[in-house]
Amino acid sequence: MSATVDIAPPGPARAPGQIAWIVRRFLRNKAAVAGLIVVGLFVLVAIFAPLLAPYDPIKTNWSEIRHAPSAAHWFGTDELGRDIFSRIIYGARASLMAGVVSVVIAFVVGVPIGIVSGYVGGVFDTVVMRVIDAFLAIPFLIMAIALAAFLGPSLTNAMIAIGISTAPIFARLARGQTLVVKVEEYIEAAYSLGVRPMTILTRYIFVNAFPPLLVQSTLAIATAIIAEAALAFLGLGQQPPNASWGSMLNTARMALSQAPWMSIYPGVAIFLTVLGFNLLGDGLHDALDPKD
Amino acid sequence: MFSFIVRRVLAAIPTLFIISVIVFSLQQLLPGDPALLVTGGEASAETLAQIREQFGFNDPLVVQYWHWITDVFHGDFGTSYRTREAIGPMLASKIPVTLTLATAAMIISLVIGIPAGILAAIWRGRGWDHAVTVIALSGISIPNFWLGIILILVFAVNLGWLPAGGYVSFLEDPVQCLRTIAMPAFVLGAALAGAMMRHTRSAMLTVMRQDYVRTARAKGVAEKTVILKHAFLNAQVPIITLATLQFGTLLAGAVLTEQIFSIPGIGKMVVDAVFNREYQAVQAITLLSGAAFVLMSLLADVLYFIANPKLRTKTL
Repeated sequence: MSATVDIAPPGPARAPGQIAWIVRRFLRNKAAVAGLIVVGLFVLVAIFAPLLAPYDPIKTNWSEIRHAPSAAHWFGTDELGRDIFSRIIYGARASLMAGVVSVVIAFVVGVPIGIVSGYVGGVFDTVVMRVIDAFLAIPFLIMAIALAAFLGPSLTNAMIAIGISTAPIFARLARGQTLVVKVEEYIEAAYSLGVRPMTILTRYIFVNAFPPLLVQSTLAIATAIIAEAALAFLGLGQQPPNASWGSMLNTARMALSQAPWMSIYPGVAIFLTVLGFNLLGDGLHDALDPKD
Repeated sequence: MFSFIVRRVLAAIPTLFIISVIVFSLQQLLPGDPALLVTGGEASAETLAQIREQFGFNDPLVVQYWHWITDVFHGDFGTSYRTREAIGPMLASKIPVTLTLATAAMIISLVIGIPAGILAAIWRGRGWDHAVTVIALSGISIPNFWLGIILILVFAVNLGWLPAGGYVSFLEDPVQCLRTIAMPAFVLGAALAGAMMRHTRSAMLTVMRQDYVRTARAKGVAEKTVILKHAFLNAQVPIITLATLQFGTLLAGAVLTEQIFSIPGIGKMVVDAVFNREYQAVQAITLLSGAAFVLMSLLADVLYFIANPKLRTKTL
């Protein structure tokens, strides 16, 4: 009988008016809007890369090795004569995909663990949190490098490595939110109405724990993009000849004095994208949590 | 105080144990037969069977874990499959290098981060506060390996003021040591300085709203004394905690920084180990960095305890 109960307890689900208020708060924050624009631009660049790139990003050209920026090649060419501007455009795909996919992995792995752990409590919670603490103790990048090294070098494995290394942060945050939400009156009301625990976890606890998780996801994408670039820089991410900002920087440092332009643009691209996500995350945080 | 430390040490033991299990489990991710890794490729079935027996690959996982953790406690962290050398002594020679770099980076981050954060809190909402916010966010958003490359480009390649890489021990030649670690320490310290600025600013703002700060001002205490003696001394607790815990981040940051500046520390060792498929060394460094974090958080708790007299009287 309890399974069929479909009366929504008076939970603090965000009303349409409240969402409009959050959007207004967000739009008033100039830095946050700037972050949104930067992120939006890079997403568009990644989607329309084939239309925007003037050259094939992996086509080598032996007669144009390490040419300085010019009208023909805005950002110059690299050690194989490839157009750096086109490679930066295609590199946006690897970076954004790595950022988003690894955070999705972290979210899907970490959030259910955190919510169930916080909801069940007791010894189960203590044991799970000990494991989470142990994962968090290992520095994020070292964990990601170790995982990527053991899994083997590829973009997919880099995303898995970054995702697994980030998951404990989501588990801890989701657990904290669950502990706050589960003592609220509307959860007690749901209990007394006989709502199934699964429904309580997904419809009430998850929904109400979602705003801080959304903020964390945005900030985690920024960290994941830097991590992917770092792994690619070390040869553990996107493999050649495919374009990746991190691997472009790795080859660039071999020719610092002959071709300094090779090291400037990929770094600027990483910096702007990461800054965009950080501004967006801070803006979402301020809009969703006016207390701070 | 003593009982507090004992309690904290006991609480850290299960965490250290779980870290060791996680790190040991990493080798289960390796695709294929680990014996092939020892031979470096093709080998006869007989040789492979012999290697499996010799390295204990046929043993149950619990037994393999026991052998591995015993080696760790003996300080040799296992033996390299390729060179057959013990990893411990190799690691021991790298630790002082990374510690020198991390200490220099920590000093730089404190020297930049704390005064900038205090000034941002004092001049809240004014130009300097906005500048600090922008600088801090940029510090967090710049990939440190790119910052390193740009510094080499400017100060080593173009201006020729500093060496582009390498390392000289402080005991051997202090001046040359400082010249070699100046850029890498700045690269590592910059990101941390950003976090330190944000933390100091927010800790100072919280403290400056307290009644005793208002009382001190009402009594006519000089503003400089109010800020440095009344406010900062009380705001230092969260700052100490952050600084201590960030040592782990410095260790991770050192991986790329040491690679760029060719510094022979733990960070470079882990990258070389990845390239040479020296998986035991990767495990050893991962374990060491996790254990270092646990020890630093233990230290943070003790410092927190010392810095906060209220906590001291409550616990004792």
